[in-house]
Order: sequence, then C-alpha cells, then structure tokens
Amino acid sequence: MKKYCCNYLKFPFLLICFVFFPNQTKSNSIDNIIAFGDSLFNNGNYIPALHEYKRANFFADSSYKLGTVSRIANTYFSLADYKNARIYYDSSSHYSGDENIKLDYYFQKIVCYMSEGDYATALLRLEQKPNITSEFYITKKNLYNGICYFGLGQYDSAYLHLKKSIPENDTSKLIRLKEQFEEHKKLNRPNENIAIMLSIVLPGAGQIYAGDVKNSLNSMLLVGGILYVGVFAPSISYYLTLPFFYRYYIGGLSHAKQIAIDKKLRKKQDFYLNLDLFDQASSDSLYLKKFFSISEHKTNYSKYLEESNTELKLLLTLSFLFYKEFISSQDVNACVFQPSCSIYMMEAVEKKGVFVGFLDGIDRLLRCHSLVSKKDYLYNSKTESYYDPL
Amino acid sequence: MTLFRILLRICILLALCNSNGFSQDLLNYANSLKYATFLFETKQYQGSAIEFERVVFLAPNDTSAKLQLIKSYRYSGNYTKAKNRLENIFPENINSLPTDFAKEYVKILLHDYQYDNLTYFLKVNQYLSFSDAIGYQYGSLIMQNKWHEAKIFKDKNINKLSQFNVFASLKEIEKKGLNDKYKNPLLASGMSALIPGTGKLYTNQWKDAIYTFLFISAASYITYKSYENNGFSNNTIIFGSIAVSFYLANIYGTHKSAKRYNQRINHNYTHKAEEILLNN
Repeated sequence: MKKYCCNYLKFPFLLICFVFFPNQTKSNSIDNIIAFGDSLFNNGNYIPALHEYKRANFFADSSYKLGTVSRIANTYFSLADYKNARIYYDSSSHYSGDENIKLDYYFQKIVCYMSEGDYATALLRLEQKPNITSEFYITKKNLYNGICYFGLGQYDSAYLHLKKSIPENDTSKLIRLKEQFEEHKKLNRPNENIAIMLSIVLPGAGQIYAGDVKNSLNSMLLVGGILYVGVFAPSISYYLTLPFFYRYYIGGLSHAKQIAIDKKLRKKQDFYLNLDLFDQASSDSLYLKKFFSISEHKTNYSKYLEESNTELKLLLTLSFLFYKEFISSQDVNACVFQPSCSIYMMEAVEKKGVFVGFLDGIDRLLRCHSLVSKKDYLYNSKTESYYDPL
Repeated sequence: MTLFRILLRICILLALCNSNGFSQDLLNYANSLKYATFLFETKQYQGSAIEFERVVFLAPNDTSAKLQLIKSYRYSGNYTKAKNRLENIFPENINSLPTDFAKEYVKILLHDYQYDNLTYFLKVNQYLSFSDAIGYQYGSLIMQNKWHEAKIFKDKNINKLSQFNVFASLKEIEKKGLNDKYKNPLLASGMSALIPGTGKLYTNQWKDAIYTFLFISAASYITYKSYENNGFSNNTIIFGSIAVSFYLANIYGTHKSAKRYNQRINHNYTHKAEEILLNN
C-alpha cells in the first residue's frame, strides 16, 4: 500500500517535470537572449543587440512576439533606420492586445516619419487616427500635429495645436507660448527672394540683408573687380571677363538665397528649442527635441598646408586655398566632380610633385564641363557629382 | 502499479507531443543550426556567419556547417575573414583542402587577385578535379587580361576545359578581349600635340575633345591678338602662360585618358570573368 502511495505521489512530480518544465526551459532561454540583447542595447551596442532580438524573435511564440518585435523596432529606431523601425512598430501594434499600447506604437511610427523630416506624411497619418478618447493621447496628438505644422512652416496652425497640447490651467505656459508665437513672423525672415532681388541690383547686398557681411564684401569685391577689368582694361579683356562676370554674378545670387535659407533654418531651430512643450510627453522629449537641429559641417583644409614640405608646394597650396575660400566660394555650383577641381589640384601637387601635379590639375579643369556623363565616371546621386579621384 | 504505469506513459506521451521539449535550449546545436540555415537561406549572411560560428563551436566535426560558415563570410563580402577562418579550420596544410573548401579558397584568391598563389594552389591541391583546376587557371588568365596566354592555354587543354561548367562564357570573354582594340597612349599624346583635342577624340572622349579644342584655340588666339597689338606685354605673357599650360596639360591628360580607356576595358572583362567564376 505504501509502495502504491509512493508511486501515486510521484505522478504530480513527473507531470510537472515532463509537461511544464520543457516550456519553462524555452522561456528561460528566450528570456536570457532578450536580457542579453537588453544589456547590449543599454550599452549602445545596437547591431549585436539587434542580432540577439532577431534570434529570440525567430524562436518566440505568440506570447513573446510583442516583446521581441517592439525591441527590434526600438533598436532600428536607435540606429536611425526609420523605414525598418516603422515596419516593426506596425508589427508591434499587431501583436499587442491593449489599445493604449497599440496607440503608443502608432505614435512611435509617426515619430519615425517626423525624424525623417516627412512632416506631411506624419500629419496625414495623425489625421487618419480620429478615434482617440484618452486625454493623454489627445494631448500627444495635438503636440505632434503642432510640431508637424511647425515643420511645414504653417506657424498659425502650429500655434493652435500646440496651445491645445498645454493644460488650460497652466496659464503661464500658455501666455509664454502666445508671446513666442506672436514673433513667429520673424521665422520667415530673411526672405530668400528679397535677398536675390537685392543682389540683382547690387552684388553682395542680398548677403548683407541676410546678415553675412564677409560673404557680402567678398562678392562685391570680386564682381566689382571683374567688372573693372572688363570695362577699363584693354578691349580684349572684355570678352575674356564676360563669362567670369556672369558666373560670379549668378553665383552671388544663389549664395544670397542660400545664406537667407540657412539663417531661417537656424532661427527655426532656436525658436523650436525655446518652446517649453516637452514636459507632457517626457519619454518622447529626448528625440522630439532633436527635430529641426542643423548640423554644421566645415571641411578642414589645414592638412594640405601641413603636408606641403617645400616652399613652392606651400605657395601653390596657399593659392589654391585662397582660390577656394574667396573665389570658388562665390562661384555657381559649377564643378561636376568629387573631389572638386581645387582639392584635386592640391592632392595632385602633393602626390605627383609640382610640375606633373600642376599639369594633372589643369587637365582636370579641361575635363570639368557640363557635358560629363554617367558613361565616363561613376555618379554619386547624393552629392550630384561624378567620382574622379586622383 | 498498473495505474501508475498508465499515468507514466501518458506523461511521456504528453512530453513527446509537446514540441517544446528539452531540446528547446535556443542556443543548442539543433536550434543554432536551424536559425543559421534560416539566415543563410534568407541571404542575411552577416547574421548566418555568427550563427554558423556557434554551430561549428558546438559541433567541431560538422563539415557541412564549416562550409556554410566560409560561404557566409564570403557572401557577406568579408573575404579576409573567410580566408583566415579557412586557414584556421585546416591549420595543417591549406594546400590539401577537400574539394568544396578548395573551391571556396580558389574563389577567395580570385577575389583578392592573388594569381600567383592561385596558380600554385591549383597545381598542388589533389582534391580539385583536373577540369576544375584547369578551368580556374584559364579563368585567372582571363581575369588578368592575358588574352594570348589564355588562348594558348585553352588550345592546349581544350578537352579538359570543355568539361568546366562555365567554359563557354569564359571563352566568349577571351574571344572579345583578344579582338578588342586598345588605344596607344603615345599615339594619343602625339595627336594632341599636333592638334589639341584630337587625342581625346581618339580615346573616345569626344566631349572633352571639343571643350579642349575650343579652350586652347581661344587662349592661343587671344595670346596671338595680344602679341599682335601690344608685343610682349603683361597681357601677352599671362594669356600665353595660360595657353601653354593648357596645351601641355592636354598632352599629359590625353596620355592618361588612353591609359584609362584601356584600364576600363580590362576592368570590365576582369569584372565579368570574376562574376562568372565566383557564381560558379
């Protein structure tokens, strides 16, 4: 009897071992992989983390899918791969049963569009989600709508939506927002068309209007100098200076326009950063604050000076740098190659010596014309230039 | 006792029916192989290389996994890693690699343009079939654009070569390469010295030719006019220097243009042959 009892007692134990334990083993294993992925993700090792999450996702059953897919989406988002992030946020939304979590992923998808600068699509997607009842998500929707309108330059609509995203009892914040948006017309200045018109009348005037005195003086002196040579020098110079006058005059117009646009973008960046809006969605504030930020990119040419080991090379390098800074900078975007002709010349002199390098650089100038085609050189669609290294 | 046995059998049956058995340790050999194969088949080669590394670690005698590992590295473009891993898997003698691995090694050497090493390997390896060894040797000669050598080699080994999978495609390239007309850089420079721009026309750069001709002609004309009007004035010297600089630069540039034309033809053939051999 005792033996039978003992055997019957063994049954629950065996049941646990054979039926439940295997599931537990699998769960542990997926949990471990996800935990390892999380630790990699938290340390900023996004690519290995992605590999771990994808591995877990491959073996995951439906109870784990939401966790793995949403992690993959977040990793792609951190890698700034917004297209893939959107796909996985969609899947996360599909696997989630909770309406609020679905909405979180929906908004995250909108952030992906906004991060790509595609405010129009983001706005469209926001409009496609009308049935939001929760106060929290209505506020969030208004905030995102406001940012999208701000991105599209529709400041009145932006103000209306951003105002709605602030609680009505927070009067100080509302007043501050109103005060800030009362000055929104400044964001449309300097007007690039006015800058162009001014430069048409007087070369360099558009640049002064846009607030760039150095470029303005540069343009005035260069175009004025060419005009002087053309008018007062011997008659033959007139024909020779005419194409140069045309290039630098037209170049001045496009630069005046670009300076005005850059100035507006910087104003927009500062205006946006000063908006006190991100408390309501503090978890989003980290990436919402990054919108409209401009990356300053300046090439460092000092290495060419450091590499010039003889007086002649130094002289040539200095003259090319002078050309790049004060003459080429005022030109129309004429060089079709990458690296540009002046950089090519500097590198050629550096590598092949003064005489051969100079000839090579001049030959490059002869090849740099608008008839260059994709048959002859590799074309870089990003920089819209042909690749022709030394 | 009978009841206990029945219950025990039910338990075992349940356990067997449950697909998530003990084997569901996701990092074990079977699951790693399953996931690695999935990644390989879906062309995610970087991921499959990592997974096959795990498979090979768990089962050092799995030759098929080792081959897939090398292929994963090669397909993901990591040729250096593929070569190092191959040398690591067969540390004793790289020259006596088994057939499939030998083919991988040949492809790695072809991709790295290590033609001397390839020739030696094809000679000493015993496992590659003779037709394969001869075929890859023929392919390497075509990749090096040694057209005449390739033709002689082909005529000498035609019987064995015809058994090589991609012989017909390689023969086609060899024929084209042999009949293609290359440009003579010296002749091109000479033509540019006589009439600026004609050398570039000869190297098929007609747009450069027109631009060069117009620019040098204009600079020369202005120099001449300036000399005619003012003699050796500052203007004449400036315009003259510009004209001479561009004239000399054009001669130099035409020589370079002819060389680049020939290089482009060769590169095109090398690339085609490489593609055929690596996909074989």
